[in-house]
Amino acid sequence: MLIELNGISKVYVRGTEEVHALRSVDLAIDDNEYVSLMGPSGSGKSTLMNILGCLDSPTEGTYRLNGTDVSRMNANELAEVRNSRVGFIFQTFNLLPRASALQNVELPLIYNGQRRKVRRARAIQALERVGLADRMTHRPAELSGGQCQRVAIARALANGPSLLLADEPTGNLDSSTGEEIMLLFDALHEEGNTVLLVTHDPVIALQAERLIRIHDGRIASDEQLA
Amino acid sequence: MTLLEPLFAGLGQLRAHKLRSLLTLLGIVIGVAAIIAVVSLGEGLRREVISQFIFSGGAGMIEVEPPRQWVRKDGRWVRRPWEEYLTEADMAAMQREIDGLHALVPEIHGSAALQRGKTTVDASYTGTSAAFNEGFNWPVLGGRPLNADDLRLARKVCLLGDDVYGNLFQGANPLGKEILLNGDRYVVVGVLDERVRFGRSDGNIVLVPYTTAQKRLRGEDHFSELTLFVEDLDAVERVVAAVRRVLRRHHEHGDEFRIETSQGEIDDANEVFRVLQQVGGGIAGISLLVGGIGIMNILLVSVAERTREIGIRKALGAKPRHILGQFLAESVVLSMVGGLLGILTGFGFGLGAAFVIQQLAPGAPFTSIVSAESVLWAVGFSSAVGIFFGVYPAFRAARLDPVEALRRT
Repeated sequence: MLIELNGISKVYVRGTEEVHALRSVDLAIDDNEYVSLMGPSGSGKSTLMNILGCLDSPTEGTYRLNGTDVSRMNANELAEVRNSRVGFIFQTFNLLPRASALQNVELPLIYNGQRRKVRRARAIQALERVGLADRMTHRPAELSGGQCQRVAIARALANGPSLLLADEPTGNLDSSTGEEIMLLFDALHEEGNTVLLVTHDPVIALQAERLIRIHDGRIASDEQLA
Repeated sequence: MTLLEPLFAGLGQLRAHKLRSLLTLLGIVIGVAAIIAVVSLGEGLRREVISQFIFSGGAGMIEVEPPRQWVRKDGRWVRRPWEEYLTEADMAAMQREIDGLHALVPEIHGSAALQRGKTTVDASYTGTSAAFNEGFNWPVLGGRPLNADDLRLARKVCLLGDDVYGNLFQGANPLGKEILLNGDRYVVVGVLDERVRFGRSDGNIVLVPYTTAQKRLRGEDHFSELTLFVEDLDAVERVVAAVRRVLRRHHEHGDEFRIETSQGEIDDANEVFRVLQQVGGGIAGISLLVGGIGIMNILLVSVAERTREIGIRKALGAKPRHILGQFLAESVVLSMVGGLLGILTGFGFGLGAAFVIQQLAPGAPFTSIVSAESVLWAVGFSSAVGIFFGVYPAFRAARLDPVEALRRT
């Protein structure tokens, strides 16, 4: 089992008010699954994604990633998990604007302590995988939205993560470019990657093999698609 | 991750915000420049002053003066009930008893109203012997020095300093000519070479035999001071002790006579300049401090602006120490670049100031000497400022919550 959530709760204090973003969530995701996570805004899906991506820690419950309990890790340990086990893909791409495509992809490899030659080679490999071999020295401003998202995907792939975590990856793209990106995710899944898509677009969500709906901090439904 | 990577990233940030970086740098540049300029000018002045000491007789110079007549007692200045003076007997005993003397120069000072024809000049006279030229390394340019007969007979002869010579004779041959000194007729037997110390000429002087000064000009039998010159610096202490022995034997208050060595004066001057440089450097250091606060301010702005970037880096696996290092490196790069520019500016400013002062007062002892020490201080201090004022903003950046940071637009 790649992901095992047991009784995960998350409580925020906003002003004097306690916000229960997640209420005792149990969830298991296996290697090489292709999962969509849907829910309206405020449902807790972003919180769940942050916890799955080790950006945030749960208030209660345990989270095992690849069999390791990551729910009680400190900031440094969580950084290592994010670096080597999780690949993030964001709606707004989140590329460093002054760095070239290659430098952006190299970033997680730098934090992984890879030597210059190794990380250059791996970054080039990742960019080739997403079809941007000819755009490596371009900066984000010189690339189209679709190309930016490909750079972001290459960056997520750079360290060979266990889990690709995509938050509305097509939200800022026109529909045909969005479709290309979705085809890329399909292909990455075919190659053995575990993919988790967070979206509120049913068309996108239905491309996955499994659909989880979340509502008011609880899992409302969990179904296998065709 | 190597050590250089964050430094290059820091330089990149400098380039990305040129105007902002430049303005931030300015504080450091001015601070460091001020330190360098103050220290270099001070060092130049110090060396010049020391060299002037050497010029006027070398490090092996010992001055002996009679006790002060007025002393401070119970908060009031009172005249001593006794008077004691340096006498011919003192000089003879020192000459006889002390080995290794290069020269022993007796001096009696007074003011001299000089006249030749209708030209009058106010100068000062020094009653002395030929040892004067030897000891002070002040040669006779034309004519002859004072000789034994001049002294024995208390002759009314004189040597003119170059200023006096110029004012009275306007280039004419003065040898054998008569002038009036305080109303009495003196024959000019020689002219002294020119001498400039601390930017001023010493040439407004007339030398006469000390016996003449004693008998004819002052009506006293003692000296204003005796100056002893030794070849060997290590002998200074021994000579001082011997002088003191002679004074004690000859005088009831032999310990009250004042003995000063040129080494003591050099030490005093060094001490004064050291304090001056420290005070000046301290004031300059304050501007460096202000510059450091500027760096801190701009780094805090930078952290706030780049919150999202920090969030991205953290999402990609940057640990707190990576972020800390990145912002510290920026701070250090900023202050080091400022430090380097400051050294150049300070160097230029020191040279410029020395040049201007030279133009305003030719011969003034002003040069600018940039010592390796001052450069090291400036660089070290500016990097320390960079680290010190960079720590807080960097720490804030390192502690940002990744979720919060990514939410920021």
